[in-house]
Amino acid sequence: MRQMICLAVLALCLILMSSCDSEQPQEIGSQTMQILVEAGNASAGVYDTWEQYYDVDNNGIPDETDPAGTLLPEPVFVVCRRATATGGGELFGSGSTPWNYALEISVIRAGTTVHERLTTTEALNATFNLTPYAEGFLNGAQQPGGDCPQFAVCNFIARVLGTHRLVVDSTFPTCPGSPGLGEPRMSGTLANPLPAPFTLDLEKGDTILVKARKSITPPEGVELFSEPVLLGSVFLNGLQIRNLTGTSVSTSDQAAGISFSFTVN
Amino acid sequence: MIKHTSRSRWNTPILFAAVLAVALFGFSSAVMAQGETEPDEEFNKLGKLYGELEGWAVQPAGADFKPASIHDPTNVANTRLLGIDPSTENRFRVRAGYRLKDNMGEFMVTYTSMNDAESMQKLNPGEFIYGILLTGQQNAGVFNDGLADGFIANAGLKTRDFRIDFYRDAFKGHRISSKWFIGYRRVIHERNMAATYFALAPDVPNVLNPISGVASETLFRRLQPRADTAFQSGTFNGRGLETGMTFKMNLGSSKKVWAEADVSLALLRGKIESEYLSTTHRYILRDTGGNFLYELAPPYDEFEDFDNPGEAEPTATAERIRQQNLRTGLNVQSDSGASMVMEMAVSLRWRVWKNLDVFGGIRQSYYENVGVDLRPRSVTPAGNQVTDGVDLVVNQNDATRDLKSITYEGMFFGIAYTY
Repeated sequence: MRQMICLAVLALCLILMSSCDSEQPQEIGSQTMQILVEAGNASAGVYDTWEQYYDVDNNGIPDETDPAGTLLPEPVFVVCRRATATGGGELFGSGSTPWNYALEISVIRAGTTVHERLTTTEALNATFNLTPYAEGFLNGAQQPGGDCPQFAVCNFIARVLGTHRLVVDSTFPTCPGSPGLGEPRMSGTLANPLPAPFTLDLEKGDTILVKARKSITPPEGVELFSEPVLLGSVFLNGLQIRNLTGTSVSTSDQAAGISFSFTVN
Repeated sequence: MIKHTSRSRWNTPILFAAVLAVALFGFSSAVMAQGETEPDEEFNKLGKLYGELEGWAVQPAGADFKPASIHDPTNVANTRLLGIDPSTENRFRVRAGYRLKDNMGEFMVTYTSMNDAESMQKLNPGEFIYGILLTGQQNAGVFNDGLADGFIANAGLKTRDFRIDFYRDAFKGHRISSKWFIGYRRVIHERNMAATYFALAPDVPNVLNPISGVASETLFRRLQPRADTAFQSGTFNGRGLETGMTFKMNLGSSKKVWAEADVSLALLRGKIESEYLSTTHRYILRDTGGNFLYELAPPYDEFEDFDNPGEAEPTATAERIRQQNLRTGLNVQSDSGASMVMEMAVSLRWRVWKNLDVFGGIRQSYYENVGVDLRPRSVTPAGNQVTDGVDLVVNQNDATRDLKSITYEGMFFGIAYTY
C-alpha cells in the first residue's frame, strides 16, 4: 500500500512538473532572406562574341600592337558581331539588362509599426544601384569566319544578348558598350556597395518592404530597343516566394517602379 | 441633431421603489410592534461599529468596445466585428457602518471602484482586412475605403460607486431573517476608447526619385501614409435613491454559518459629458503656386508622374502632392442622463472568532445607460485649405449618441468585524 502511495505521489509530481509551465520558450532562429531586383524583358540585339588578339611572332603571348605597329588599348579584345537570321535580318532577343534604379528596403519588426530602413541613403539615388546583366548563351552561334582579321587569333566565346556583360564591358568598336558599369550592386555605400542580391536575416512576423524605381535615363553603353520592366524577387532560405503583396513587376514605362511587401510566417 | 437611441425608464422604477420602501417600512414597523421579532442581545447596547473589507475579482461585461472589423476578402458575408475583451481585475470594496441600539437599524457606507484598461493590437502589413470603425468615415484608410492593415486600440472603463444606506429589520424568524434598506447612491462612470489605424505596407506607387543625383528623402517622408486616429470618451456622473433587501439564513444549529442574499435597485439622475475626435488623411495636388487643385484618388498614379515628361530632367508631380489631416471633433457637455443600478449578491458567511466574520460569494452589478458612444454621422469638409501643417476642419451635419450599459460580475471574499 505504501509503495502504491509513493508511486502515486511521484506520478503526480511528474505530471505537475511537466504540465504547469505555461511560459513556453519562444521559437528562435532567424531565416535568411535574399532580395533581387532585375530589369528584364527589354529588347536588345543579339551578338556573336569572340576573344581576339594578335600574335605575329607566334610566341603565344598577345601582342601589344597590331600588325601595323599601332599600340592597342589592350592586347586582348572581346569582339562583338551583330547576329543575323538566316534570311538576313538582325536578331533581337529579350532578357535582363543592367539598369540603374533607386531603392529602399525597410523592415517592420514583428509587433511594431516602425519602418526601419535597411538600405543606405545613397541607395535612394537613382544612379546608385544596378540590376544584373544578362546571363547565359544563346543558340545558333556563328564562328567569326572572315570577320577574324589576318594575323589575329580569334577564340569564339558564345552568342549572347547585347546586355550580357561580355558585350557591355567590351571596348571594341563593334560592341555598343564600354562605359564600365561595374558589378550589379544594391545599397551599401558609395565606397562599398553591397552586391546583389540584398541579403538579410529576419525573424518570424517581420515584414519586409521593397520599393524600387528605374532611373529615368538608361545606363550608357547599353543598347536597347525597348524599356525594360523592373522585377522584384524574394528568396527565403533559398526558396522563391511567390505570394508577394503589392506590385513586384513594373510596367515598361519610363521610370516605372515596384513596391511590394512580404511577411515571414 | 442629436439622436438618442435609448429611451428613458424613469417612471415605472421610481414608482416601484417608492411603493416598495413604504410597504417595507410599514411591514417592519408592524412586525416589530407585535413583538414577533427577537431583538438581538448585542444590539441592545449603545451601538456597534461595523467594518468590512472584501476583495472582488470583477470582470466587466457588455462594454461593447468594437474598434475594428475583420474582412474576409473571399466572402463578404463573413465580416466579423472585433471586440476588446475585458479581463478580470482584483478590486476592493469597503463597507463601514454603525448599528443603533435597541435594534433601531443601522447606517452603512459602501464604496467600491472598478478599473479596467485593455488593449488590442492586430498588425498584418500589406493585408488591408481591418475595417476602420472608430474614425470618421470620410477618407478613412489610405485608399479611402475604410480599411487598414493594422490597428492598435485601447479601451478603459472606470466606475466609482458610493452608497450610504439605512438598514432595518424586515422580519426575523428562527432560521431566516431579512432587512430592508433605503439610501443614497452616487455613481461616476467613465469609458474611453482610442484607436490608431495603420497603412503599414500599402501598394501605392512609390515616390523614389528616378532622376539621377536627386535624393527623395523629404518626399518620401512627406507622402508616407499617416495613421488615422480616433478618440472617444464619455463620463456619467449621477446620484439618486436606492432601496433593496437582504436575506440571511442560518445553516446548521451552531448559528455560526449563514447564507446571505442581497438585492438592490437604484435610480440615478446625472450629467453626461462626452467627447469624440477623429483624424483621417487625404492626398491633394496643388498647383505650382501652392493652391488646391484636386483631391487624389486611389491608386494615386500621380505619385509617379512628371509635370514635363518630355524633358531630360523632368519635375516629379509628387513634389506638388501634400498629405492633409481631416479632423472631426464633437463634444457634449452637461447633458442630462438617467440611469438605473441593479445589484444582486449571494454569499456564505462564517463567524470564525468572536465578532470576526469571513465571507465569500458572487455578485452582479448592472449599470444601465452609464456609457456614451458619441459619433458624428455625416460630415462636410469646410473648404480646401492646403496650408502646410494646417488641418482641414470638417463640419458635422448630424451625430448619434448611443447610451451603453455595463455589468460587473465576479467572486468576492472578505472579512468583517463588529465591535
